[in-house]
Amino acid sequence: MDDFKFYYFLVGALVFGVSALMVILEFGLSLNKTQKDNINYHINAWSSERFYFINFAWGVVGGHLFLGSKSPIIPENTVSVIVVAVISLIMIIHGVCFLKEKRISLSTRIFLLLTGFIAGHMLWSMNDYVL
Amino acid sequence: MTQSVNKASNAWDSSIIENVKKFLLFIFVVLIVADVAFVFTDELPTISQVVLDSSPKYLIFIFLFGLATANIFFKRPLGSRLVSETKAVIILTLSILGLVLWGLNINDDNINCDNFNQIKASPIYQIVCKECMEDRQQYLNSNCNKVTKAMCSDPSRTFDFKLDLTTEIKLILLFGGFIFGFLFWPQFQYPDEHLRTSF
Repeated sequence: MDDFKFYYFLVGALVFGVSALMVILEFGLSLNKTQKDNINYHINAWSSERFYFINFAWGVVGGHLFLGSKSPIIPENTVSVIVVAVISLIMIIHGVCFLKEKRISLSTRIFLLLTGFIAGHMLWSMNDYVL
Repeated sequence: MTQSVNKASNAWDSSIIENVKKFLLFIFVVLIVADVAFVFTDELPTISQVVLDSSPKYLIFIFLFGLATANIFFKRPLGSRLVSETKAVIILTLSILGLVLWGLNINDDNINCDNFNQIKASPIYQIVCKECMEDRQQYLNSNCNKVTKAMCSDPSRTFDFKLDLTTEIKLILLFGGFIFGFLFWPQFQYPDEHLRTSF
């Protein structure tokens, strides 16, 4: 179990290290003279255009990490990951090939985000009983 | 002296936008590759597992995720400020401090094989039972109703019992973070926000 604790710490340190780095960078970028260089600005801009799958993916990650049903629609975790990946891939291909310069509406973004949360909760749950 | 500082600052500003984009992509790729690698090796717990298990001690992350969602995807229109920036900072600091203290005060160290089934579920907390597999460096969910004392007393098996927030409370925290992020986080839209940002 010592190994387990060490590896757990290692992965935790990686996640929180990267998060801390992003926060520090975001603060630094907020303080400089250049506008529109912030991380949140870029993600917002990309997600309102051809990379609109980010709205869905963000919702999926939120539903996956923080919610999660005890009885997901697809009990097999690998299948649910493939389903979510395929949906995201379709959105990426559609966005890159067909959307071009267009912006998607706010209502569509809200819909995508909520659908993502529901998908993360109902499809890709970590709270189901494995044993 | 001032001119050279300004010159250095401008050079930094002009090159930084492209670097930020590259850095962002790098981070996303690193996280995806790392998580896939962790899934395929039994040695390491996945990133998702670590974040999931950080609840309820670090329940603040749920709130912050909601706050980040509002901050990134749903920015307030320019000039629509509910309270002054000072009040917003005070409100947010107190909220975050309160949630951090709540999380750190949750004590589930005394839950074990002998008493886990005596603890009643509440609308806020639930008991989570997990078993560690011999060949995997992570705990897998067990149905607490099916875990018997004989099972968890078996020295060849390793169980873990913890108190966690119910999904409903996590949803409320997430939504609360979103509302706070939308109403109080200092954010603004650029006047020419409609302009497309090239990738």
